[in-house]
Amino acid sequence: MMTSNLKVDVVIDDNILAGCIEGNRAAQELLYNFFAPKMFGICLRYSYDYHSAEDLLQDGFVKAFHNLDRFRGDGSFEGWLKRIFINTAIEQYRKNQNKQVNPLNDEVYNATTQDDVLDKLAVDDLLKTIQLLPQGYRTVFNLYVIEGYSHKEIATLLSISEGTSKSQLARAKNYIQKLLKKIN
Amino acid sequence: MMEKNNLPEDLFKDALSDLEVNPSEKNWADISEQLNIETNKKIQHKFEHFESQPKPEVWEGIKQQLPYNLRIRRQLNWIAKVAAVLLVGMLFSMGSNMFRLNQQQKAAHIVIPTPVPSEVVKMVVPAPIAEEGNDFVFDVKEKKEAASVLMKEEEDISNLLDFILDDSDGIAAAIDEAVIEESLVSADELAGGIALVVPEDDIEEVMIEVDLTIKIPLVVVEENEIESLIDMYDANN
Repeated sequence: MMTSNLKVDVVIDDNILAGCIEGNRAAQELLYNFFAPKMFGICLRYSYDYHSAEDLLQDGFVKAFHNLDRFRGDGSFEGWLKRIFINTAIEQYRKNQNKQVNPLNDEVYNATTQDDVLDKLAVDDLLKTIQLLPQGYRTVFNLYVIEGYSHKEIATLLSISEGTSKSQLARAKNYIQKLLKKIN
Repeated sequence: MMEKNNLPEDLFKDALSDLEVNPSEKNWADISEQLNIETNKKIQHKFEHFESQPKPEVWEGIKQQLPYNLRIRRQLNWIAKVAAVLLVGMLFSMGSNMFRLNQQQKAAHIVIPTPVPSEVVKMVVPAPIAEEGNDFVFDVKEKKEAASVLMKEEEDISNLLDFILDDSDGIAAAIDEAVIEESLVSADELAGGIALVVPEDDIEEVMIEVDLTIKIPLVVVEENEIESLIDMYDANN
């Protein structure tokens, strides 16, 4: 409660960004406190558990602070920061790409999710469901469904084919549907 | 009249009441996509304002990896890159100079052979050591010969040197005369040199072999000059 009140009063302006660039610890902490909860939400979506989400958050912020002077102010700072976190998650996906084994087969998937179930579902439950997905499914699902990237963009970002992106999304949805059925 | 009016309607009714037409697959794909978009929007909306407060330890971890001043760091990086480029350039320049110097040194080294001796007696004459500021290094390896032959050889060498030093291109000015003089003294007069004792009667029988090596530094004589000097010497003798 205290945190959310503080957020209303804090405005991230150019002075704070300049302070962060000059290495001002107070400014850096202020920036972190302001954006950490939102960015942690993103990290949780792209990670399989809380601990790996914390690692992702740390990596993302370190990267952001090291490249803060490259922010030109063309768009919103939050958008810029969000892209850094998504890119960090994609890097992590690429690192683990060789390790993960996706259960790929020729099974036909029904991509339609039951909307009534979805409406009743709390965001935390949905998050847990997403976290249960294999990393490849989870990444494509996040990029397509939540960030709004096209399959073509996802294919470029993840160095996969457009068809793979589509099939991974369909499988991710099917996976979620099955999990939601279990929950209900 | 009524029956007549109803007739066309009945015809249509009879014909179309049980009409079934299978829609194309594209129709269902479009509907399905629309449903998917709506589902996606619902999920998107659920996560739109989703936030979660991380543990304080995360900030501690980030703090340890934070840069102090990005501007200074960028400038230092830039300076380091420039320094690296300069260093590479310098090393390349030094390397190419050394290579060129080595090539020239090889070209400037000449050996003048002496006549083949008929009889060889092992004896070594220590070479005069080049002194500081001396542009002319003069190595003489002498074996054994009769005193008269020795004198003749020395005279030949002296003539050769005179011939070389007589050149008007300024070589003579660069030569330390004292060292040349010292080099040209009789072998038995050299300090620590040969202890050649030849009975006067045997003088004709004792032969000597002299290997003369003249090293001319690069700064004084160029390759083409050396060759022309040798040619001129050969032509004169």
